[in-house]
Amino acid sequence: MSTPIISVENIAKRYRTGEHHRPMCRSIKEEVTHILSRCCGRHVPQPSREFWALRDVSFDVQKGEIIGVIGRNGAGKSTLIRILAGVTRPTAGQVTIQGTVGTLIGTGLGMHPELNGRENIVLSGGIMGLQKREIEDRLEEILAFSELESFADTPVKYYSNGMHARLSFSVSIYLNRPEILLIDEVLAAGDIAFKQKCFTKLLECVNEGTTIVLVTHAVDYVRQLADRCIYLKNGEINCIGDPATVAGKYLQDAQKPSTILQNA
Amino acid sequence: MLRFLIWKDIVVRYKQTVVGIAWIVIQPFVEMLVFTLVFHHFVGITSTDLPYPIFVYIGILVWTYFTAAVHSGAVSLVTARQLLHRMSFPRLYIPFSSIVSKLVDAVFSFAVLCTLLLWFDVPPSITIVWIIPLMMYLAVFAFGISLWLSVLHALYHDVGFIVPYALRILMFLTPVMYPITLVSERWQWLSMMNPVAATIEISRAAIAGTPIPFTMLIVSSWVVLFTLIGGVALFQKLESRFIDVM
Repeated sequence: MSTPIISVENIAKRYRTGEHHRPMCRSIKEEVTHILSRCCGRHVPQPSREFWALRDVSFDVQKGEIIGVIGRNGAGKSTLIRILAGVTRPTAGQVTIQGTVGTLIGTGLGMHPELNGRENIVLSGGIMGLQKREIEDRLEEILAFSELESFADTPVKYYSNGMHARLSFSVSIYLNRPEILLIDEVLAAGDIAFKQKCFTKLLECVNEGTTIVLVTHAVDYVRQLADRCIYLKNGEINCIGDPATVAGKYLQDAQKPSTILQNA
Repeated sequence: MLRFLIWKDIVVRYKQTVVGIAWIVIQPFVEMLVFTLVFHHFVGITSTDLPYPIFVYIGILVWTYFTAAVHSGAVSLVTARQLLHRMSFPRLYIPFSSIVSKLVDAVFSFAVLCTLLLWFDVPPSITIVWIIPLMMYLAVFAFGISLWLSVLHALYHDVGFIVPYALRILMFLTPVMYPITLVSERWQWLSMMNPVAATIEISRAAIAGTPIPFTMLIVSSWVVLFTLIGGVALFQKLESRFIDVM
């Protein structure tokens, strides 16, 4: 086996869920009273609860692999994606990534509702670091793939959810050619026909050497697409391996009564 | 990437309004009329080297840019949180692009200024070109302040309320509608330290062709320098923190 393209070693991510949910975000008044009470020695240690979104997560991803990540809401899937994308740093542990990373999370990167489809494509491309020429060359292709030719000049704010998702996906897949593509639940919108088209496109990318980390609730996609699968449960890896087996385990767990709040 | 962020800010700004550019032009123009009426005709403030409407318009032009830039800079991180949550890139780009995109408005206001100069038959001195580096200077200051404010705004939402208020107070302390010579000797040093005051006063001198008060520039540039260095330091220190709470 060659060196992995993504190597995650014992990462952990802690969020604080104190009284104010986001303690850094208290108002200045609260901050002042806090400091004052501290100075007067009347500091009552706040019952600041810690929430470990991820704990001791380790795995490797090889080049050209599609790895699925499944788990319940709050299991740490999105946190994992954010850490891989370099948006936030893990509290502990280390992530080593050999290659460029692109994300496909929710709506398109930096899309603006007031701008029309065409302008948003150029904008997203620009934010991804492409030249205007490169984007314009692929513009028609993107519109064709997303089946939005007739709405190219309509501001995106008038788009339906499905149209929005189609545009975002098409933009990312055509303009963003990173070595590692992180996908977080974007295939949810869009009809079956479009999804199939997306799958084909994704597999095409993989054949060209792209590595994909796919976060989703749709277990079927994971079975269909992934080479391996990670099942996250309460911030820890419950099991990792063959998609069918892991997905089976996840579905089996889902039948049982909720265990999600035991972790805090 | 930076180019596209700036482009987006500009396009979005002009798309949302029906009158677009006209709006940018009318606003300071109307302000100029009101200020002339109130402060020149009612209160009786006079200017020496330029007709009062031009004199006050320069102040308004500079001030409008400064407020707009600081305002949008302060909220820029929170506004761009979606993007910040999805991609890793130098986060300094965000306040920077909002400061730069606001310069476009200033260009339009400058066109109005040229019209005013023609209207009042004031031949501008060649030193009018000074206004370009001066606006850059002001932009650097606005950027420095925005670094402070944007980070603080991400952490403390109170900042969003304080900024417009503080700016309004600062406007009275800045020689927008009065010449700096009206400030008593005792307080002149304070005005000297104000980079916005320096920009306004030097622009006026440059257009009138009177000697340029370089001392103001030198004194206030220290303020700019410290604001900028402090801002960058603060931004980098808190960078990893604000992303998680935003």
